[in-house]
Amino acid sequence: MIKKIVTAASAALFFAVLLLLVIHPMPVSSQSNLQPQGLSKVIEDVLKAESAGARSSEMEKLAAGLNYMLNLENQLQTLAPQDSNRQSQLLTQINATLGNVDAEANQIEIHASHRTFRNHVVTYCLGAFAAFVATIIFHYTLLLRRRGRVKRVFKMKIAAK
Amino acid sequence: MKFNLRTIRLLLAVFLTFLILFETVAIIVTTPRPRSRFFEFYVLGANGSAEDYYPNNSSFIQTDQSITWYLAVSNHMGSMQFIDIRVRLANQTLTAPNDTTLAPSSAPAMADLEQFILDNQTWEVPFVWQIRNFTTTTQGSSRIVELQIGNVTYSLQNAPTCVTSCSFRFIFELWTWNLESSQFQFAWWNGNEQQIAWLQLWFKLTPGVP
Repeated sequence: MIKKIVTAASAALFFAVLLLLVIHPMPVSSQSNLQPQGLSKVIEDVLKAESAGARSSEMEKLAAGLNYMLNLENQLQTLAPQDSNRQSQLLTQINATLGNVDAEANQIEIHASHRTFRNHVVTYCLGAFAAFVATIIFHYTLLLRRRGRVKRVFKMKIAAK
Repeated sequence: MKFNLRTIRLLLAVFLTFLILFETVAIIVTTPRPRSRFFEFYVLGANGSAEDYYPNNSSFIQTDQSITWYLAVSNHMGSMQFIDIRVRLANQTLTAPNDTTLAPSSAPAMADLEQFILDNQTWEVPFVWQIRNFTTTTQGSSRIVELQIGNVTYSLQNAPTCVTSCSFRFIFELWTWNLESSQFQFAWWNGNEQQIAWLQLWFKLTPGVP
């Protein structure tokens, strides 16, 4: 009978995990097209990566890229209007930096999303496993208490009144 | 080991109870808790502490006297933020930001300090400034004509004027990037209410040692 319970519990767990895998929205890799994009789009992608569960080291890298882009923009603003070569060079650099940050944010989002999902599944499975272990402990505790009671009964001495 | 039907029923009930208990704990652990969203915005003196804002502790500023402050913003918004510290030069009559209507100051903006700040991080930026030149009329009103912030010198056309006894002030406003409108906004949302953050520091102009 216990085999049946274990088999049923395993099957239930398997189907629960399968169901979670099916209903979980897997982000599809959106390759950066490296075209001039609005700053909002890049920030949005970075925020998506953050909410997907990106690590602080990954977020620091993205923020550093964005701040580097701001630094380039500040340089661009202080340039003299006749310095067109340097202007176009800086503009190219700004666009490239934005494109890199966007592509990296998309990649981080995919990895972070998978990682977070995996962690959630492990946590929920651990919950089920802990419940199973707790039930076994409960059962054996009950069994030992019963045996102890029986032993005590056998050790009893009958005293004549 | 034999299990009778009563034991199986009992164990199943116990297992389900434990399962509900542990899965509830798992849900609580994996669900992010709602929290208050805010910025900390403060200014420190030349030594990086809340003192020594002016040389010799006097807010009477002379021409070419360099003053260093440190502006700091701590992000507690729960996500990375793109912020802009808008620097304005005002006198006593120009309006300061309104905490009720959430309107920014009417003083002209001088400079912008922009930065991306991660959640729970603090950005500290030195604000070094000096008055390069100011004019005084015969009626006694003074006007700052040239102001240097960092390495940039600003020639001021419509700078506010100030009569002899009045003071100038720097107003620092904290603006945040709005993704929907793709521009900076003065207020941010904390739940259902909007909040703003701004600072001001006063000073007076003096041609010589006060």
